[in-house]
Amino acid sequence: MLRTQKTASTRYELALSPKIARLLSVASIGSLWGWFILKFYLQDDASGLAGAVGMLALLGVGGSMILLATQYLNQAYGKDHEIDERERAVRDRAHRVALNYVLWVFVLTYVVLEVASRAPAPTATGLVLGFPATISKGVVENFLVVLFFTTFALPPAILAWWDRGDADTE
Amino acid sequence: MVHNRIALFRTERGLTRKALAELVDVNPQTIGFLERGDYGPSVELALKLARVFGVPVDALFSLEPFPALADQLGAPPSSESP
Repeated sequence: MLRTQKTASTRYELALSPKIARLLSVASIGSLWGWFILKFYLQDDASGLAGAVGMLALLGVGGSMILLATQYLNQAYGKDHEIDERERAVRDRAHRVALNYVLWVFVLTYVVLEVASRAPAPTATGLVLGFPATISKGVVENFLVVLFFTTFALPPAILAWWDRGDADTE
Repeated sequence: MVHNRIALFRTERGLTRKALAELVDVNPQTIGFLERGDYGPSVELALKLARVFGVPVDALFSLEPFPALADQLGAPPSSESP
């Protein structure tokens, strides 16, 4: 459902129910990471499987974009004068959680790279956990794509999860 | 925790949450959060709400729980009253 939000400048947004927005957030962020992991291990795969895995990326990016078109975008990225004091507090909390997510992704990435570099028989580019997959420029690019979209979509997704769903418009 | 009687005053004044929200310039959901005690307002918002209802802030907000209305209505009349 498309609705307009009455503010200083008219804004159009998708009014998704919190339940749908939560499902969308899980599907999109899960798809992005699923795509990255599967793509990582299918680097040399010439079958149609790699193409099918690419659909996960489309689902992830598309889902993230839809999530960013909902009412949660304004709550997550709205300017101070566009939202009230409670919404500002919730927005700030959501961004703190998103920051923690990014920090943990970096820590985990560092750990994975360290483990890969200490694998029993590393190649020039390193083995990761015994799997014959190398960390190429393409892998790093895919990683950055996932990190960008998930970090951007995370605050609205968190707000959808925290939304109690009561419109309070009695 | 800050206790409040926003719901009581709002109902008495015949205001919807949306109408009250517009009067104090917040999202209607915020009124719901305030009434349930899930959010403690800033001094500014508390003053705005008190002004809308025309009561002192401490009639609307308290650090102690407000006595139940039924208890107040059923309380025996004070011996000091004329």
